[in-house]
Amino acid sequence: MDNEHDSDEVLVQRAGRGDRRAAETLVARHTDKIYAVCFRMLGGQHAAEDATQETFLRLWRNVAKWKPAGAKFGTWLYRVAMNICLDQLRKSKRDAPEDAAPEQIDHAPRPDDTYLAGEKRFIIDEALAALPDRQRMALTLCHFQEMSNIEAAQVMEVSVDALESLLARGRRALRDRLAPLREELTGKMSDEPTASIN
Amino acid sequence: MSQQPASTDKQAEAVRRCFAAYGGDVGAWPADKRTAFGDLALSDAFAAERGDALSLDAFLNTATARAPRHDLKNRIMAGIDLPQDNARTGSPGLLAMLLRPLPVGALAGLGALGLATGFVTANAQVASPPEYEAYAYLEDAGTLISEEEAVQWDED
Repeated sequence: MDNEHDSDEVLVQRAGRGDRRAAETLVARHTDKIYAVCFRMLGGQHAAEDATQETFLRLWRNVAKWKPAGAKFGTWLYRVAMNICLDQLRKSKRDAPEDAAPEQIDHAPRPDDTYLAGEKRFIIDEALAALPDRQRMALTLCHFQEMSNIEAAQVMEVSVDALESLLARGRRALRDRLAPLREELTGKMSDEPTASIN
Repeated sequence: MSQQPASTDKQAEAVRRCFAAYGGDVGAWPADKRTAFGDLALSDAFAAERGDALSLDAFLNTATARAPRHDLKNRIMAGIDLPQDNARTGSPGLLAMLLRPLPVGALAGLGALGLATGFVTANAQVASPPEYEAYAYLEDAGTLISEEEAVQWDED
């Protein structure tokens, strides 16, 4: 049966009745998005992959009980992923010695990165990672995942006003953190003739 | 020069809040905000705020994005445990399989036999299951899918 055009809710119900093809379609449809969110929240490829796998494990554990009431399936799946990431972050903070250095972010240089683009990316990744978890989550959902404000608020279980406040505080913090670097980067950019900033 | 939309203090504040939360790409704002404040946000009066927000957007867009390794989906599928794989919930019960071939008359006969047995043993003392077992069954009964683990948000 061709599952490609079926809604998530239909596919979950089929998977709940043991339809493996429906489960495969759900995995194909959602893995990259869930991984992207986990990567942005946790900063490392392995941690993000583990969190993505755990998200789907929780889905399989609950799939037979799915009823098409309440939140949309996608919203529920993002919420599960976010809870897993928050648990992971909390656990890391609790287990880390007080004087330990923060976890290194898994920076991924692109093949076309110049030194300056790589440096810029590093600075931005560090600034994002330094945000409080909820502000980073709001930015991840709205800016990077391009989720609507209503859906992002549902995932985070906050009001739209509260989401806007988190977004504004997150962006302000980033702007303040990046402001001293902007001029420096701009100056270096003009000195580096081969720089290609994307 | 085109006529600039006039703004009240309240509208101006709302536009600034949108730039602060949703960035400089007015086209990507939520539809209700775009409809209410889009023209004003794109006017010269807010050029500075728009430019500042767009500049931060551009910075954000250069953050690292990495695709998962290609075998992640296979690993997820390897961990799948759908109900059909679970004998408790996916396959028909033993009693159902035994009763399926019986004709209706036989089932009626079995029912009558059960009823007669009930009369004979009506006065017998049957011990109820202990209370903790009853609670165990209740806890096992799932209803709606939910992810309601209490999330203790960190204070920002």
